[in-house]
Amino acid sequence: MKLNLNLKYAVLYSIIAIISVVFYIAFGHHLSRILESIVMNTGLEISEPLIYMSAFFVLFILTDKLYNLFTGTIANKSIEQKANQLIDSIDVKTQRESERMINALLVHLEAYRPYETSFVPTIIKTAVKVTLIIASLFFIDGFAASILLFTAPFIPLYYVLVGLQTQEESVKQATRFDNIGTLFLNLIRGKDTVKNTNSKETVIKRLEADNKGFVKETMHILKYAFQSTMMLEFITILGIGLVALEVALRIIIFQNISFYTAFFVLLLAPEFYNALKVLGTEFHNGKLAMGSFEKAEKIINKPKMNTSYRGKTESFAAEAESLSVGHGDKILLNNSDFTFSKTGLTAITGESGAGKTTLLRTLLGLHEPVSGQLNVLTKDIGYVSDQVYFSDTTIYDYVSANNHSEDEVHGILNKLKLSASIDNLEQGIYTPIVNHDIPLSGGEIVRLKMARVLINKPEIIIMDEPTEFLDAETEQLVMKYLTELKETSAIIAVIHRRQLLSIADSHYVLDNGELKRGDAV
Amino acid sequence: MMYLKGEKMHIFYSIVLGIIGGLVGVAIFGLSGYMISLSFFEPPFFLIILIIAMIKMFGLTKGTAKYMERLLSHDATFKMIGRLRASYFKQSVNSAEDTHSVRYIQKLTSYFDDIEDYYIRIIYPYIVAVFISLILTVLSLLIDPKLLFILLASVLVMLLLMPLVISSISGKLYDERNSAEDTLFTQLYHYIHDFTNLFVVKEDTKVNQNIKKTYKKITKNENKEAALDAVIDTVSLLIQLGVIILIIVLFSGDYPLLIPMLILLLMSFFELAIPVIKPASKYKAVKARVEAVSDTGESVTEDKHQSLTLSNMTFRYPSTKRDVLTNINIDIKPGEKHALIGSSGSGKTTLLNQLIKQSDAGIMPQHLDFYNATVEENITMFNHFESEESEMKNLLEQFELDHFNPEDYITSAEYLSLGEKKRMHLIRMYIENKNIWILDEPTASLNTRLRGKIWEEIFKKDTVIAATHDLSHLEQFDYVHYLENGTITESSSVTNALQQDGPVKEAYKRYRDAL
Repeated sequence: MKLNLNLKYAVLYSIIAIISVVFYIAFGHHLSRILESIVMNTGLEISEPLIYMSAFFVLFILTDKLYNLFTGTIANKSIEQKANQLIDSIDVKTQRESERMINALLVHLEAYRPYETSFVPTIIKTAVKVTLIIASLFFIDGFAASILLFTAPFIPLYYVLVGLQTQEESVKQATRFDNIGTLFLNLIRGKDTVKNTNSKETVIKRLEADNKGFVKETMHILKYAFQSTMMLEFITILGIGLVALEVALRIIIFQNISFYTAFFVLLLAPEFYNALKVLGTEFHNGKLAMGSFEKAEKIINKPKMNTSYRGKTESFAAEAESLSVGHGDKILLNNSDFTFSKTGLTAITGESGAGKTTLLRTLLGLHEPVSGQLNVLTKDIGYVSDQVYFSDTTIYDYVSANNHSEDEVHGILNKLKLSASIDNLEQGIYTPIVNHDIPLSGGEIVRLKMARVLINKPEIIIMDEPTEFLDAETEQLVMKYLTELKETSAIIAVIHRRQLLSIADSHYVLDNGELKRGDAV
Repeated sequence: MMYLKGEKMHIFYSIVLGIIGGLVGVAIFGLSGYMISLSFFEPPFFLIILIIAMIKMFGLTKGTAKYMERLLSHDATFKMIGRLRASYFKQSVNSAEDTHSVRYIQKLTSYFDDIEDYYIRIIYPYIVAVFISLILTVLSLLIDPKLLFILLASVLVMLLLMPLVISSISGKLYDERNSAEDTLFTQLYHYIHDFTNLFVVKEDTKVNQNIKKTYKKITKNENKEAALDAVIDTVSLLIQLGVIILIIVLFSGDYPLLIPMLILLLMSFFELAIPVIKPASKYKAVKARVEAVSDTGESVTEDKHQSLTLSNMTFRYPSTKRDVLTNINIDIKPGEKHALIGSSGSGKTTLLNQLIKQSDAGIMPQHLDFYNATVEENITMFNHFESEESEMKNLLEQFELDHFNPEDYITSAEYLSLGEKKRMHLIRMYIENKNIWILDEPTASLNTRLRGKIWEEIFKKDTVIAATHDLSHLEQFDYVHYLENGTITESSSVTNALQQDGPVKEAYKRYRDAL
C-alpha cells in the first residue's frame, strides 16, 4: 500500500519519531534506575534520576504531540489540496452528476482523511518504535530481545493467514451495510412515491428484513475477524509471558540480571507488541480509507478541458475550420467549416437531439470539440441559456452581476417591459430570490435572463430558444429589441419556432453531423 | 446468542465485559511489576510460576472478554441502527418535509453517524472507564488511603473536570464544523448548477475561490481539533507524570516492593482513560444535534376522499409571502380527461400536488423516485403490487426498456436517464392499476415515438389529469385549463378552447408553429 507522502516528509516524520521514542526510552531507563534503587535499596540518591526521568517524560510528551500536530497539519493541507483539485474539476458537465461531486468532496474525501492524518503517521511512528525498542533491548537483555524478535513475526503472519481471508468478506459486508444504508436514504428521499402507492408497511418490512439478514451474516463474519484479534491478543500475551518467564528465571535461578534490566525489559516489551497490533488494525482501516479515496480520485483524474482549439478572428463572429463536435462516441458535428457574421441574427434549427445546444456551448468555450479549430471575434460573449437556475440572490444582483448601476438595471428592465411587474413587488428590484422562488411568470423569467446578458451589450450574443414561454405580445417586443440589437452585435440563436426566422439574416440547419444552409433566409 | 434478549441486555453485558477486560489488562501490568520486585527476594519458585501463569490466564481472559464484548456491542449497534432507521422512516413518510434535497439526505447520514458516535464512542467507553476507575480507586484503599486520594483526584480531573472544561471548546468546534459544511454544500450546489451562467459572466473563478476559502475553514477546524487533542494528551500525561512522582516520593519508604507494580498499573490505567476525555467533552453538542434531527417535523394528516375538486383554493408555501395559487376552481368527474397547461412556474405542479393530497390515484409526480434495488422491486414497490415476470418483461419491451431485466439491480437513481425513469414509473403505475391517473409532464425528455406510446397508455385510463407542455395529443383530452401566475385564466372543453380566441388557442397555435 502506498503511503501518499513525499520522501522529504517521510524522512522528517521519521526524525521526529526517532527523537520522541528515544526520549521515551530514556524515560524508561531513568524510571528503571529509580525503581532499582527503591526496591533493592542500593542507596542511590534518587532525586537526580527523578529530575532526569521527569525531564525526559516531558520531552517525550512534547515531541510526541509535536509529531501529531505536525503530521496532522501536513495531512490536512494535503487533503485541502485534493479538495481544491476536486473543486477545480467542476465544469459544465458536473451538473449531470452533481451528487457524485458533492459526495466526493463531503463524504469520500472525509472518509479518506484519517488515512493521511492517522494511518500514515502511525505506520511511520510504529515502525520507528519497533526498531528502536528491539535495538535498545539487544543492548540490555539479548535473550529478551531474541524472544521479541522470534515471536514478532507471528503477528503479521497471522494477519496474512487469517486477516486477509476475512478481509475480503468484511469489505463485502461493509458494502452491503452501505447498500442497506443507501436504500434507507433512498426510501426517505422517495417517501412520496411510497406514500402515493400506499406501500409503507411493505417497505418497512423490507427494511427490517434486510437489516436482520445483514446482522446475522455480518456477525458470522465479524466472529472470525474478532477471533483473529483475540488470537493476536493471545500471541501477544504469550510473548509477554515468555519474556516475563525469561526475566524471572534469570533473576532467581541464574541470578545474572539486575532489577534495572528486568524492569526495563518488562516496560518496553508490551510497548513493542502493542505497536505491532496497532500496525495490524491500522492496515485494515487504511485499506478501507483508500477505497474511499479511489472514488474521489476518479473525478480528479478526469482530463482537464483543453483550450488550444480556440483562436481569434477579426472578420467574423465565429469561424470554424474542420470542426468536429461530439459527446463520447456520438458525433454531432462532423468536420465542418462555417463562418458566422459579425452582425445580424444567425438562426440555427434542427431536430431535437441533433446537438444544437452542444454547438452553442462549443462556441462559448464550455464544451471541448473533438477536433478542429474555432476562431472567435471576442471573449465577450453573452449567453441566454434554455435553463433556469438562480443562485440565492436578489433581482438587482442577478441582473447587474455587481457591475452595473441601479439606473442601468432599470434601463434594461424597461426595454424588456419588465419594470411594471418588478416595481409591483414589495421590494422592487431588491426582491430576494431564495430557493429558486421568484415571483414572476415564465415569460418574465425568460426576459430577466435576457436582461442579465443584454445589459452588458456583448459583441456576440448566443441564445437558446429565446422566445420559448413568451406570449405573442412579449414575443413581438423581444423581437423588436433583438432587431435593434443585431445592427451592432452578432446574435447566434437556436430557435424552435418559425416566427423568429422572419428576422434572421442567415439560417443553418444542423442535421446528421452537418451544418447546412437553411432555406428560410 | 439466544440467551441475550434485546439490545439492553447486550449493552449491559458489553459494559460488564468491557470492565472485566479493562481491569484484567491493568492487572497484567501490575502483576508483572510485582513479580520482579518479588523475584529478587528469593521467593519460592512456584510463587513466581504462579504469577506468570496468572499473567497468562489474565491475558486469555482479557482476550476472551474483549472478543465477546466486541461481538455483543456490534450486534447491539447494528440492531439499534436498523430499528432507528425503520422508525425514522415510519415518521418521515407522513411528514410534510421535502426530502428530495441532497443536503437533507446528507444531514440525515451524518445524523446517523452522530447517533453511532453518541453511543459507541461517547457514552459506552466513558461508562466503562468510569467503572474501572472507581473499582481501582476502591482497591487502592487496600494499600494506603493516601493512594486513594491521589487516584480519586486524578480520576476526577480527567473524567469529570477536563470534559467539562473542554466541553465548550469542543462544542464550538463541532458547531463550527457543521456550519462550514453547510456553507460549503450550498456554495458547491450553486456553483455546479449555475456553472454555465457563472462561466459566461466570468464569475466562475471568483466563486471557485470562495468555495476554496470555505474549505480552508474545514482545514482550520481539523487543525484546531488536532491541537485540542494534543493539549488534552499533554495535560493528562503531565498528570500521569505527577502521579508517578508522587508515588515514588510518598511510598518509596513504606512500600518499596509495591512501587513497580503501582507505576505499571497506573501507566496502563491512564492509557485506558485518556482516549475517553475528548469524546466525553462532545457529549452535550452531539446530544443536542441528535435530538434536533430526530424530530422529523410536523406530520400532515390527509383527508383522502375520492373527489378531484378544488373550489376557491388559495395556496402559499409556509416560508413564502406570496400565493402560489389564487382562487383555483377545478372539478374533475369520473371518466373525464383534463389537461393542465401553462408556462413553467405558473403553478401547475403545485396545483397537481393539491389534487394528489386528496385523492387515491395513480401518481406520476414531477420528481420520480427510484431505489437501489432490482428493477422488479422498483416496479412493484418491493412486491407491494403483484406482477408476473412475463408481464413485466412485456411491459419493459413495450416501452423500449428491454435492455433491463426484472432482476437487474439499479445501483442508483443516476443510473437511469430521465426518459427511462418516466417509462419505468409508468410501468409501475400500470401494475398498480388505479382508475384515476394524475400525471406531471408524463412525456418530457422522450422522443416523438415514445411520447405516442405513453399518451396511448394514458388515454386508456378512465379519469386522467395531466400537466403538460406537450400539446401533441391535446385534442384527445376532454377539458383543458390554462394556468398563468397561479390563476386559471381559461377553463373549458378542448373543442371550445381550440375554437375561441384565448390563451389555450394561442398556446396551441404556437406549439403547432414549432419547427
